[in-house]
Amino acid sequence: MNRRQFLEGARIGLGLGFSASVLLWTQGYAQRAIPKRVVIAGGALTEIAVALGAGKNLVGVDTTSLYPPTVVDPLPKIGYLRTLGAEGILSLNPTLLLVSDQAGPPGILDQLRSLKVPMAVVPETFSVDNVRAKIIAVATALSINGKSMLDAVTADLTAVRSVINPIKDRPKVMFILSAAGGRLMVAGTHTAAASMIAFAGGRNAIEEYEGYKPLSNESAVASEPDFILMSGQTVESAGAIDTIKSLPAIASLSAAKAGRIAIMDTLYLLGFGPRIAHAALDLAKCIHPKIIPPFLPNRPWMHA
Amino acid sequence: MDARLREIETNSALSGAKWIALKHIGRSNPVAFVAMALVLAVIASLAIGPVSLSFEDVLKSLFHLGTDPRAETVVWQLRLPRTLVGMIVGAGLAVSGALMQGLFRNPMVDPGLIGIAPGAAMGAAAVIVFGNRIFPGLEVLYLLPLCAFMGGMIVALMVYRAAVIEGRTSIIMLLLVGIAMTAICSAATGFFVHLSNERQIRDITFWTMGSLGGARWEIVYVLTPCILIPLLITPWLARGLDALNLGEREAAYLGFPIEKLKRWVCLLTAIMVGGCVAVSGVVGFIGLLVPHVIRLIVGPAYRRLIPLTALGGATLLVFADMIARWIVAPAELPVGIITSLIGGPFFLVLLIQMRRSLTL
Repeated sequence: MNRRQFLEGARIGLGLGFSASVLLWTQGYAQRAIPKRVVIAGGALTEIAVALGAGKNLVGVDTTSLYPPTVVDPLPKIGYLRTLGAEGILSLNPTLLLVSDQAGPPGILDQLRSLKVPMAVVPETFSVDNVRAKIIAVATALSINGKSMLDAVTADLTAVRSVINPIKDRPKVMFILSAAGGRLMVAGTHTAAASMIAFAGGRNAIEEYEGYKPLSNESAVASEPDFILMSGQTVESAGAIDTIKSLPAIASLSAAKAGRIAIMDTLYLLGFGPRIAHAALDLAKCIHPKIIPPFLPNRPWMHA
Repeated sequence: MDARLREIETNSALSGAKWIALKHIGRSNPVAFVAMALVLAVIASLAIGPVSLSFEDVLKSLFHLGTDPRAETVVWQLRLPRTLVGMIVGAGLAVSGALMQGLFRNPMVDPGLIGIAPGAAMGAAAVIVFGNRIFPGLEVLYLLPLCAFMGGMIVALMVYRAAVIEGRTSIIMLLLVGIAMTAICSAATGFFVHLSNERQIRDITFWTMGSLGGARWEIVYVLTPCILIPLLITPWLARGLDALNLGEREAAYLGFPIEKLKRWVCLLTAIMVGGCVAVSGVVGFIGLLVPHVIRLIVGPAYRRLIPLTALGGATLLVFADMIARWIVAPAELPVGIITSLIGGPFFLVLLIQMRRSLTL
């Protein structure tokens, strides 16, 4: 970045405060070329990169990168996020490697660094604000101006918050990850599902444990959820929603008897990518049927 | 004495099996045969990988003559340490298997039997689940192999202590206590899995399938003495293990220091398996499969069995790892899948052969 640009950026910054610092950042990178061969490990990062328009520059993704399918399906897969192999990644000749800090196995990031592949490591957490941080990090790494996308996602998140925050009533929501073999795997604390439930104005029904664990039928009944939330994949693998409803643990829940069951696509609900505000609003509409939903524009990244 | 031992050799049920073709190749010059296979596997492992390099580039890089820095990085930072770790781990696991089979006088024994592998798995799972909570910020990179090694050693030591009755090591107690400790360790590992999050659960699962993906030069430096020193000691146990084949009492009457032998076998196996498992996770079937193949080729005399088993184990793992990182490129398969894929069918054939010749 040269001196003139800096002064220009500083002048705008004085005038416009915080938003200008983003502008400065975007101006600084707008002139660099987008890396031609990008490899990404991390589903949300891939979704953001594609939304930023870098889809055609991708040459490989990990197996957690599932959206948008039209872009990622034909790409070579470098394996699961936690079992990456250095030589496989190197064989794709990446000019940029964009990895989540959740990547593994331990030591892989150091190993890749020692191979001198240009690399950006992006911290990921299950917090709503992390999505904005990820957009900034991905745009910076790709040398793409991400301001319009960041503003759009921020506006969407603000719109959802403004409707959810005043609500006093916080219904208990139980997220069922899987019902395979009639055994429920239910989300506890520190999960993507718990974050989304809280953001959509609910309470996670299970706060006794961390992560996804098999829940005993009695505990399921004792937790008395107001709503049951499931992924479309769970229903699909069980065959039909009625099969799941007939499970003893579910059938005895008042939420199931009253039909208060929400089914959402896991990638959409738990992706923590740019679609997060829309997903949260969809969930909020289920668990708070009386709210007047804000209008969220139909963003380009909502279409696969 | 030598005559007695030669008799055991010829009477062995395994050498009686109908593997004439294999024997024919092997009998002429088995060491050259297996050594050649190892050289081929090492060449393949250095030359074949997801990054396509010409054979010439690989050779040049190997001697720092190349002009392509990328080829040099791939060969020196990735393929060479990985191939070396594969050789060391393969040799260590295979020889441990041979020693254990000799100690228990049972061809179906795996080096994990006296609790080393389950103990190491328990240590690894504990680090994966609790490592960051107990030592926040500490790199799991070094803690994991260390704890896996410690876990394996502690469990093996406990099994051994429990099996010593009035100064004598009871083989049957070793076996039974090993089974009991394996059950306890598996329960503990299961409990850690229950406490883990999805990321950790996947880490544990993949660790138990084995991989050489973590191979780095530091690992080569630490692992080499850990495996090589026990390997160099094992030839001194060969005669004793041959004698043990006759039975414990018989071996003692022949004048072999049986108690000392058993102690050494347990110690060396624990160090070797502990070291291997710590760096590569649980790589299945090498310890079981390789000693059998070698026995079919050269017979059961440990003098020849041990060096050939070391070469054979190295060959199998280096070859399997080459396939593991190449077959689903740019992704990588856990190498334990490949070794088990080769080992499983072999084990089946072996069982059927044994059923015919031994009437179990």
